[in-house]
Amino acid sequence: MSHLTAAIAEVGVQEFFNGIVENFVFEDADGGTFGGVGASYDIKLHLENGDIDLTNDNTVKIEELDIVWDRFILHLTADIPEVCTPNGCTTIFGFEVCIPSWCIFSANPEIDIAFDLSTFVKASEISGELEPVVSYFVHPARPPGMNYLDAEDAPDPDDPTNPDKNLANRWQVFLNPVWMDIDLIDFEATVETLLTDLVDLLMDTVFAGIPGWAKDIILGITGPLIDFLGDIFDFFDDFDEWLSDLFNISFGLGDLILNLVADFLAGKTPIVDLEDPLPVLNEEEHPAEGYTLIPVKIPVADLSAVINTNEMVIEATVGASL
Amino acid sequence: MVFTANSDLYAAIDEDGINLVVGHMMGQRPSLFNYGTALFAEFPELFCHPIEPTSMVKERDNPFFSREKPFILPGTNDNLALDFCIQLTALAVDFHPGDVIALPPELEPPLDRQTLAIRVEVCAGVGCPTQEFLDTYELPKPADEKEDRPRPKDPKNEEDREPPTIVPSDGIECFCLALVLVAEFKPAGETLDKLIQPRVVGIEFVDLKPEGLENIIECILHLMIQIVVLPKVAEALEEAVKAPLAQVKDLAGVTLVPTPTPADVPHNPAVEDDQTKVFINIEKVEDDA
Repeated sequence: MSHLTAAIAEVGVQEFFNGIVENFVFEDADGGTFGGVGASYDIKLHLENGDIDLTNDNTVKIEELDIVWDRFILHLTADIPEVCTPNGCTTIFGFEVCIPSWCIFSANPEIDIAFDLSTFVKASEISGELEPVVSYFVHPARPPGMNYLDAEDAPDPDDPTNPDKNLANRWQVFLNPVWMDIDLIDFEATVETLLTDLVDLLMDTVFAGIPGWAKDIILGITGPLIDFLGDIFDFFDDFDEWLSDLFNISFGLGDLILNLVADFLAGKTPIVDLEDPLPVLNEEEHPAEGYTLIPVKIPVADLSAVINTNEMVIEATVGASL
Repeated sequence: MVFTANSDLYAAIDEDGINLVVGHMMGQRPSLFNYGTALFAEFPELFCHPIEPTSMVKERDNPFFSREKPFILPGTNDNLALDFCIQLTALAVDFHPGDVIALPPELEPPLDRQTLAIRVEVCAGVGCPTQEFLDTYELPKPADEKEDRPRPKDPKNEEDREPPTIVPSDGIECFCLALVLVAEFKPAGETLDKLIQPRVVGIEFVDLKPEGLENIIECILHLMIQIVVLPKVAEALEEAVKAPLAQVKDLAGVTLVPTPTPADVPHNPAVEDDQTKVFINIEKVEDDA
């Protein structure tokens, strides 16, 4: 039979969750070469919204947790083999006409484009189901045999300037993902705009050196040009699917974010974090008498956390000895 | 059973838990339960009941008791005083329904709804004078006082006064009694620091006669327990139940306030089912912007 009982209604758990969500920010940059095409990303995101629903299966369901992209830069490079016209001379109507060689795609890489995708991406969503997991944390830096008051006084070497961090043992309750899913890339219909921008960029970069009449001809055949780009980047007819595959499969960004969110919830952000022994009376300084009364602390044992459809219930017993 | 049917947060501690908390308090903060004159610092074995502090109290050089001034003997013009000690040696709590502490008839058992019983073992002792002192000591006469003892610079300033002579004794005369109190909690205020406010509503010594003496000692202990001990126990109780809930406040940036009575809950705190329960609501902090 537990001595201490605390219950948090669903609205309280929602407030907990909102607090966790507000503190989550993620930045990353990575890249690679995929079939001759270089691609890299530079992203920053945070979380917003998210509804929770307590269940009788001892879980919290999360829905509509939005990933908001603060920065979503895609950098594509492609090295197209140089194509040159042959040089040589020929005789036409008795005149010798010589044509110099003319090459395109001589630069390396020819295509070097950075897109800011943040305006094209819908707010990505995370959904999932979390269960409370109780953990008893013993700081690895705490030497064996250190008493509880010395542990409380000792700064945490991982965060030595934080007065709230120390080497005391802690009871912690985390929300551990049972499953989580991420809908990472979902483009708006404005992908067409993105492709048009891509063509304009190519005109100003790859085809910068060709005569104006030639650019006009190329712009007149934008459709075939997009096909041409598709051939280069291998995205064929479905550019948004290609991008989704690039981020989800090639980069594994979806799994990366999912793992980070899961780790943030399950390993870094306890929803209950109690020092053990738990202080119930603070220390009292008596400078005139030359002593400081030690804090009164109670040992906490058998902490448990259970969720039902109405509330999350935390129970514990008061230990008999420190 | 839904704990938060009428509030956002709920916390409770049962009587076994609070009795363990009290036990930890007695071991770790013995100066809250033991009082005595300077004599007992030198001779702690003279206490009526041995004090058993935890090892950390000794390691951190904490006092085992609160030092009191000797008891001035009336009529001696502050010249003569007695060593004494008062100890609360055991304290047990029984939340309604009363099933642990037997109430004396004067407290009209059974325990009323929404009340709690507290049984306190009290020991007190006085250093009685030796026969030799009684045979030889004479109070200074006003003339002697004038010649032998310098007049205080300011009689109202205690530091300027000449300390009284402490009556020498061969030992401490002790007695121990059981005291039973009935207490209740005032309704919670509007803020969390006014959540738990206990007050004593009845007090009775077990088997103490004559009645006048009993009433006087009850009066003194009522004051001591109400003013000194219970606020500290309430503070500890409050911390024990609030600590898990404080996480909500820290994490979510909300304000916690006691759930109002009787609008939302009939009693807050509620003393029932051998527990003390508190009900708390969450108030979202509005951004200034």
